[in-house]
Amino acid sequence: MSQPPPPEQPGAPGWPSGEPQQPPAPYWPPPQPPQQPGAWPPPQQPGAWQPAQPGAWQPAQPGAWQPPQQPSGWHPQNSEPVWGPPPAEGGWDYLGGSPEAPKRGGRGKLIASLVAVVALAGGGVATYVAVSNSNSHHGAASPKAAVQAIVDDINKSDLVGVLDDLAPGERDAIATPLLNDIKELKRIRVLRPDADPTKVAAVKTSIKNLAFDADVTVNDHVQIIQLTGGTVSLNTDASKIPFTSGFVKTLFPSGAPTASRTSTVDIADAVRSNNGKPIRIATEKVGGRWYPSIFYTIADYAAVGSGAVGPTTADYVPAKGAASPVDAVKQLVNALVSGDIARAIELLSPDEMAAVHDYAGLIVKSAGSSYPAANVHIDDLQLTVKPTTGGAQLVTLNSVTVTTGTGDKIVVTVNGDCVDMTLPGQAPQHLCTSQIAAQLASQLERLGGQPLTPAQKQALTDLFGGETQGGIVTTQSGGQWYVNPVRTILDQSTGLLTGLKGNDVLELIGVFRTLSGH
Amino acid sequence: MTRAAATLSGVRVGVLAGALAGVLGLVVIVIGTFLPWLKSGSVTRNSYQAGGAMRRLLDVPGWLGAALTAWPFVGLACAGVVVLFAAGLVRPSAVLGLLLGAFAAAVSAGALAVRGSGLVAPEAPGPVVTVVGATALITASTVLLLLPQRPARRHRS
Repeated sequence: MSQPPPPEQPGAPGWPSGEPQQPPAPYWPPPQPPQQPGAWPPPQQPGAWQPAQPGAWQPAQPGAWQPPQQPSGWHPQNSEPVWGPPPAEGGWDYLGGSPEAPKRGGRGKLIASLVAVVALAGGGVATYVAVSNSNSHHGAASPKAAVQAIVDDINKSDLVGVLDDLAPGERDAIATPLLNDIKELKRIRVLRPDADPTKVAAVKTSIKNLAFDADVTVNDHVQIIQLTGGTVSLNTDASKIPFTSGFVKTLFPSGAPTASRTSTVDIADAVRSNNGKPIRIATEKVGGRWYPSIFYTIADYAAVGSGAVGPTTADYVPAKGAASPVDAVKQLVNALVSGDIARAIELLSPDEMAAVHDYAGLIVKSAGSSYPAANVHIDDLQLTVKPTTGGAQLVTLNSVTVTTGTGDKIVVTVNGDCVDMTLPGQAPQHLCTSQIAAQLASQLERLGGQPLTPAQKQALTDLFGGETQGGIVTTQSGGQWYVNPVRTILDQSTGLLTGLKGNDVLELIGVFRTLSGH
Repeated sequence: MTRAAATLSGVRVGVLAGALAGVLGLVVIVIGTFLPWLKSGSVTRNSYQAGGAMRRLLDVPGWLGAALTAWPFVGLACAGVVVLFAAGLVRPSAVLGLLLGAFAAAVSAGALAVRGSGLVAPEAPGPVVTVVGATALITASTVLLLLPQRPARRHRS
């Protein structure tokens, strides 16, 4: 292996001591000679370069030449000087590593650090604002603020805001099915997809100058807000409902009503005419934040209407779910059949039906005596479960066998779109949705006095043949499974819409218009 | 100027241009996310308010749900790209920028593809501006990743 001749060195002839005229950086000769046998031997001769000898050139000594510490351009990464000639022209190639950012001097590093700090600060502020925005509708600090928030959103016709203002359990039960229904209504050409949300509010509400009486505390997480004053103005304009033109023509063949009507209600007058009883709006505290609650408001009005003062702690029935969705439904069915209302309430979702748990004692007192056990026995109940939205499970019926009080057996078995029924004293029946639709169609033809069109018959078949099989929605809370009755009912409406296609709704409206003679 | 020096100068110009385009893209992305994305009644919502409402009101499963959860941290990710570049880690910075740009572009394009229901409708300004920023960031990141590497050092053999 040949070695190139050693470069000229300080101390060698032709290299003056002190600062060199042409420093060879970054290819600065090594202070230590190579140690490998056969490599270039270190100069030992007197007068030649000797790093350690006093008086000779020493790189670290002040005043002596030193390789530049911060060259303005590119320089090797190693702190060790590179031993070798400079690359030949055109001798660039790829090393496969990261492209190196230009090396910076002290000022460059300072600027880079400042840029990094500014970027982090900006990103942090943006993230803080973003996270705050993301949770901006996360309840209110007080019951009054919660009511004011939903009033503000109603005034702005902000459907998303109104739904978002509701207590989380109710929001989950109502919002998703409602928004799914809107999506389905758009799909089946009832609602226009291109309407401007600011111009479609058929009902514009303006609630102003609200006056409140003292809050009523029901318990540590429910307070009643009492409205005693203010005005509620309602402007209704059916022409602003974002219906499709086809739907409007079918519904109103002689032209849709266009008149705009405005009515104003003075809350103080309404309170006076109600024997001075203020308008009550219940609010629920969840996770330390307050939300307006539809279900607590209904429960409160029911309690007040029945003359009860309000629920006490003794009226509370804690949630006690089941180990699985199927068990929850089976236990609920058994509780209802046996007249055990308290157990049925225990099995209701504590998130969705919190109001029912709080008012359970009042419900049992008012309904318990009039709700005896049914005179039947469920011998066998076969259910299946399938996942649905939001982590919920939909429990559907496979078969049920019931023995009546007279000892008769009734067996119902579901097979896809068909149902097999065995009734006492009758031959087994086999009914499918298409048969039900056909029977209904013939009944409608007889009532209307004219045959249905193929499209109308298809619409009836689609109505009963929806892909979504009816079932009971169950959700998990605290490791146990509960039944969600409100979500079950609302999901059924979405299921009905899901089965409809194209102009089915318009065809069905046509059927009923024929029946009514219009 | 030698050919090597010219190439070096070209690389530096490329890095500088990529960095400037990338920073511009990052700023535009962040601005876009705060512009209107959703309209409900007379109220408009930026991407974070709209995403929060979607998470609470709709069951958003799978990758879309995960994207909505991660979305508020886009600003922090933008800062991460800048910090990596300032630390001299150009290639990691470019890779993060590429991923961030693709994420922002996908979310914005998805928002633009959604049709309204008449009562609630998507708004174009936010997603459009974010897509523009994401495109700039993706371009800049790609340029930085495709630039030649540093010159090889010829070691004495």
